[in-house]
Amino acid sequence: MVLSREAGDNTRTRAGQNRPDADVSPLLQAAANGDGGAWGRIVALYGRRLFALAKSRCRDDASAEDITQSVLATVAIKLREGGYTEEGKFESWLFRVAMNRIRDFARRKTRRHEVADPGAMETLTEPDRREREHDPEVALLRSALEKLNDADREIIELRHHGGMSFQQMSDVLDEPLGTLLARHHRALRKLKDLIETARRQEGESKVEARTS
Amino acid sequence: MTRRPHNIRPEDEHAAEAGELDASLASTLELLDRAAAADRAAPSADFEERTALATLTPRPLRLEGTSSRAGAIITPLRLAAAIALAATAITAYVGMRGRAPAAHDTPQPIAAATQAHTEVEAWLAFADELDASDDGIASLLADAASLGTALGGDTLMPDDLFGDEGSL
Repeated sequence: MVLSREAGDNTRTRAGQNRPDADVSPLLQAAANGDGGAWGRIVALYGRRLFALAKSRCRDDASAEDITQSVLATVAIKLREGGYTEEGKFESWLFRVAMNRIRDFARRKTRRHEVADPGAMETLTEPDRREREHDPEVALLRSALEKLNDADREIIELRHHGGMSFQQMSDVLDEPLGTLLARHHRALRKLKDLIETARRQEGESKVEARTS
Repeated sequence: MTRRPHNIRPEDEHAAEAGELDASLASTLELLDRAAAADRAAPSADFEERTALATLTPRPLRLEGTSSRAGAIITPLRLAAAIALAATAITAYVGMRGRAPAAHDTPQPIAAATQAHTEVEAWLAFADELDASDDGIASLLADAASLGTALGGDTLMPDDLFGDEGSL
């Protein structure tokens, strides 16, 4: 099967015309009827955005790809089984499934870090598959993102990695639009402060290292 | 709204209220765009094709049985991880006992040997759910070997592979 990648990045350019939901309806219908080409187009439209959203949280390609596949497999089944009713909100539904999967992933990671006897697990320790960030500025940002609370982080990641509109995010997170906008603004400020603090500390460490 | 080279955010009528036009946040937004662009570009070139094929099967493979995980979707990555990890647990046990694996291998001795009771028990339960007869286990081990047991030694739990599929 040859799949189109032309819409993979799905960059949008004009306010108010940035949602492909209306255009995706025929694809959804065709995919529900078993059309592999239509399903390929849906994956091309959303796959990388889902991947980026997952990767921002887990920092590991394999886990991010697994979450992406898991989300899309669930969606494919729901479409075929008639479990999705088209109301022009496919993208919100898709990303809600994704957010739930990512939250599950984060919970499991936390549980696994709470092993009662870490010494006993020494021989079974998971290798660290988290990639190293080569861009020092982006590394600062990623580190700052990890310091945000989950709610703020989700808002930032849905917007910037998932590429969602604020209205869609309001649907996904079940939060009034006005509240969401204010929270996004606040989260950006927190990120900025965290990055600046990290930069300052880094600078101080370098000075200390030079003087000692 | 000024678009920068990395900007992949959709333009939005609410951008101003959300702080995206706040000049003091421009460098933070630019970093976010760079990070997001890098993450979107991270998968290999055949990502879309692989993903579509993996999720397109007429009837996606699901975990059978009667446990709470029955019905969970098995993606190829999950299956590969499951095979490797089940094999790791079983190999740890049979290596200790110096004999070939058998269907009646139970979790308790392995748990005692590795002091990783929960993980190993869970993994053997999982192998059991795959209906791993003697031949089945041998086949699992062979498959794991052919996969290079790349994931062997992880402490993943079955829930890692078969998460809460009901949480839509």
